[in-house]
Formats: sequence, structure tokens, C-alpha cells
Amino acid sequence: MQKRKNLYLVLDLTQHCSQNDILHAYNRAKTTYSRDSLASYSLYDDNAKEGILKEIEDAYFVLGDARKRQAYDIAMGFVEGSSEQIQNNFAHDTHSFTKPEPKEYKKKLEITPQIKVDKNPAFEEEIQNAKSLTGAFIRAIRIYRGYTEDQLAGLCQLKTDHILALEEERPLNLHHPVYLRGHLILICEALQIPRTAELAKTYIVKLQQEDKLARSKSL
Amino acid sequence: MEGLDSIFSVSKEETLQKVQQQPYAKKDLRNWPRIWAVGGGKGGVGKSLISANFSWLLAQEGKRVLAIDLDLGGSNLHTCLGVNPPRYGLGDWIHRRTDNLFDLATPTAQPGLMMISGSSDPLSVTSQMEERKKDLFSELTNLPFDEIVLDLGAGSTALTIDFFNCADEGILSILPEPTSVENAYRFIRMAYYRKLLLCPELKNFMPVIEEGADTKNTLGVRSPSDLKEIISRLDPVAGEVFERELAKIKPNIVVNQVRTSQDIEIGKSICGVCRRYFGINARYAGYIDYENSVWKAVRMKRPAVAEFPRSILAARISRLTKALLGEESAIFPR
Ligand SMILES: Nc1ncnc2c1ncn2[C@@H]1O[C@H](COP(=O)(O)OP(=O)(O)O)[C@@H](O)[C@H]1O
Ligand SMILES: [Mg+2]
Repeated sequence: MQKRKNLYLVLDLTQHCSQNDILHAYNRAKTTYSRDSLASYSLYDDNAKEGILKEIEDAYFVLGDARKRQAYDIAMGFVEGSSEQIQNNFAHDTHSFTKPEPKEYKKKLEITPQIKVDKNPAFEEEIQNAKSLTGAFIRAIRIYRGYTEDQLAGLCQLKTDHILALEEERPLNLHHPVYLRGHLILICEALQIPRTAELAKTYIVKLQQEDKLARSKSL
Repeated sequence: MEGLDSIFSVSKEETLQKVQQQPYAKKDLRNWPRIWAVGGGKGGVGKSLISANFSWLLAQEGKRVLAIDLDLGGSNLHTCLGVNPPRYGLGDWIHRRTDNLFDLATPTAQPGLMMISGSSDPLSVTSQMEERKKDLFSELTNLPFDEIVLDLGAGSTALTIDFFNCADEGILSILPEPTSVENAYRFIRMAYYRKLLLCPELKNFMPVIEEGADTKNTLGVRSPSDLKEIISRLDPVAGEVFERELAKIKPNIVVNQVRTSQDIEIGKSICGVCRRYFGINARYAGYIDYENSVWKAVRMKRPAVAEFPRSILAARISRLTKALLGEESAIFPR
């Protein structure tokens, strides 16, 4: 697997920066590699600069959005990915912008399974010992845990479309490939599937082998 | 050398005593001098301005400082420091008229600061300097100073670059104009390749490094940072050596003659470009405004920090000095 690009380096940043830093770095980077920029004079021709500007836009597309950035950080292993942590972060985020009643917000996230399913020790064991992850397996576990796809989407703070796409193994038409791993980890956490990172990898490898990730060589 | 002795007379002894009695802060107590090299790849970008004022402020802080004019063809550091054109200089050491560099040091009006002038006969000096540059560095490290500041010449000749690379700290003065930026990058490129070429562990990769230095190379090296990939692939151990050598190139960038807030920003951009293109960590140490007090001070043959201590310029250079010493972070408006 090719090493994935560190988007922070594209903007000349480190992971531990604020959203505000990212905006400033983005603006500086655009100036630095603009056509008549002094700072990149004599090192890069117009063609090269265009390529770099594209990289900068791509990096900002992800890092400039706190949610996409969060998913990216998890996918890259920059932060420990747990759904709880993300929920907390979002709770904090929302709080600072719109100041909702914290309790109310929490209630929304406490989703009680809609479908009543009997305990199935054999399946439970299968989940615990899973060696690989497939879309069908995710769907089976979701149903066993008693969640609708909307509920799971709510738990993971993802769109229902994304959940369905991943369960049907036709991802990435809807979202940036880079989030794939992050999204899988979120789903695994929500469905109490162990060894999230390892299993997410098997899912991605399988899709790569089936050439379904053709548009996302970098993953 | 008898002639030289008579020139030095009493003042040399006096200064030596003064220098050795300087109270200097404990934390700065080093048993070897730290060597700073001030370069820029171009003439007239403020190398002498920075060298003179930086040395002056270091001495004001109580350090024992020696400023050396290595601009062999265009030496004028003595003028910036308010010293009359000395009758002896580095040329006398290069031509072995004296073996002791300290003999050549002239006192300045600032206690604790001495200087060695450049050569007055530049014609024959440069080639012989090349032969003696190793000796020069070992001599320097034996001198009774805390800080030695080298005011480098213009251009990116191997000699100048090697001085820059051998120093403990490099300062690169850049003006916010295309010619200066272009020459500064040429300077960094030379520093980059000389550093690698002179590393014995990378000897086997010389052909690759040399080919990579050619902008029309066939290796697919578009920027020096690609070279790292290629060498690591050929030999992972050499790749590590390469990385280690690269980490040693960390110039302190100073943007001089700043007129607008965009000019100030250029320093940060340049550091970003250095990381992307060369894969090296340059540091933006500070900037200096374009100010009339500079040429006024030059006309009075005094460093601006001595002549106009309350000017914005003096404040900037003082800030720059603190940042270079790591006492204060370089803080810039966003
Ligand atoms: N910040 C500045 N403001 C105004 N003039 C400057 C400034 N820096 C340099 N100069 C002018 O540029 C000339 C060249 O500076 P100098 O320090 O001698 O450059 P170098 O040593 O790099 O050749 C000086 O005569 C000085 O008057
Ligand atoms: Mg000069």
C-alpha cells in the first residue's frame, strides 16, 4: 500500500493546530504558490505551481472542515478514534456555536435500538473473533444490534447514504476516499465490533482487490 | 612579525584585559566559541548591517565577541563598526605573515567586541583562503571569545558556502525582491549539495547527488527533496545518513528592508518553500524595516543600534538577536 499523504504538510502545518491556523496557512500557501509570488520565485514554474495549488485545495477541502478533519485524523491514526470522543468533540463544537442545552444534545445521541433481537451467543462469538469485515457482515451486525440504518447514521454522525453505501460495498461515490477508514472505524465502534482498525483494513484491502477503489489510489 | 607588533601597541593588551574581565551570564558560559555565519547570496542585502549590529548587541549583553569580515573582495565591516580601515587583516594570516589570528583583532568602541578586517589585497587571497579554510576554523575555535560572527561575501562560491555550512548557526539575509530571493535559493541549493558532497558516508552516491544537482537531470529529480526518496530506495542506510545531514541545514532567515506587511509574510512563505522544495527546516528569525536610520548610521560609520538605540530599527535588531539566541520566540503578526 502506498504511503498516504500528510495533508498537514501540504499546508506547512502540524496536526496540533487550530481550525483558525488552518485557514491562515491555507491563505498563505495560496499566496506562496501564486503565479507572481516572490517566495517561490525561480524554484517552481507555472505548471508546477498549478499542481501545488491543486494539492493545497485538496488539503484544505479536508482540513478546512472540522468534521472531515476529525475523520481524516482518525483514518491517519493521528488521534485515537472512538465514537464517544468524536461525539464529545462535536458536542463541544456545537455548544460553542449555538449553545444548545447539553442534556438535549446528549439525548439525541442516546439511541435505543428499535428492532428487538434475541441474544445469539454464537453470532456474538463470530463478531468477537472476526478476521475480516465485509459490507454484509456490517449489515448483519447492525441488524443484530437492533439499529436501523438511520439510527446507526445518527450514532456515527454520518449520513444514512454513507452507511448504506458501505454495507453494499459501493463506497466513495458520495464521499472522499480518505474518510473510508475513519467511517469504518466509527461504525465498528458504534456496533461494538472489536479490533476496529485491523478489521477496517481488511475491508479496504478487499475493495482494492476488487478494483472498487480505482479512483482512490492514495488509500 | 615586528611590524605588526608595533601597530598593535598598548590598546591590544588593554582590550584583551577588558575582554577577559567581561562579566557574562552564567548560562552562556561556553568553553568554545559559537560561530555564526551571515550570508545572503547577493551583495547589498544587509549582511554587514546584520553582522555589525548583531555583534554589537551580543557584546552589550556581556559576551566576548569577535566579528570577522570574510567578504575578501568587498570588505567594509570595519566601517559599519566604526573602526578606521585597519592596516592589517585576514590577508596577513592567509599569507602567513602571522600565525595568530588574535594578533589581527582590532578593538571597537563597544567593550567586549573586537573585529578582524578582511583582506586589503583581495587578488591573491581567495585561492589561498580555499587551502586554509580548515585551518581557519580550527584556529577560530581556540580564540578566547564566546561568539564569533562571520560576515560572508556575496555570491555562492564553494568557499563561502563551506564557511556557512561549517558554522554552528547560519543567518541568511534576504530582501523582498526577485533578484535577492533567486540568489538566496541558489545559495541554499549550493549549501544543500555541498553538505552532501562533503559527507564521507555518502561518497558512493556522489554521482547520483551530482546528477540530481543538474536541473536537467535524467533521474526524475524535480526538487532536491526527491533525491531523498531515490537514495533511500537505493540504500536505506544511506537514506538515513542523508536525512541526518539534511537536518543540519537549518538557516535562520532574516527579511531585510521590509516596507509592507506582505514583505514580512514572505519570510514565512520562504520557510514553507524550503521545507517543500529542499526538505530542510529553515527558521524565520525576524525582519528589519527599511529605514533611513540605516544609511544615516552608515554615514556616521557607526552601527545603527549604537547611534539610534531608540529607533524602530534598533528594536527590530534587538528582537532578532533575542530570537537568534533562542531567548525569545520570533513572533510576527499574522
Ligand atoms: N534595512 C535597511 N534600510 C535601509 N537601508 C539599508 C537597509 N539594509 C541595508 N541598507 C543599505 O544597503 C546597503 C548595503 O548593505 P550591507 O549591509 O553593506 O550589505 P552587504 O553586506 O550584504 O553587501 C547599505 O549601504 C545600507 O545603506
Ligand atoms: Mg558586506
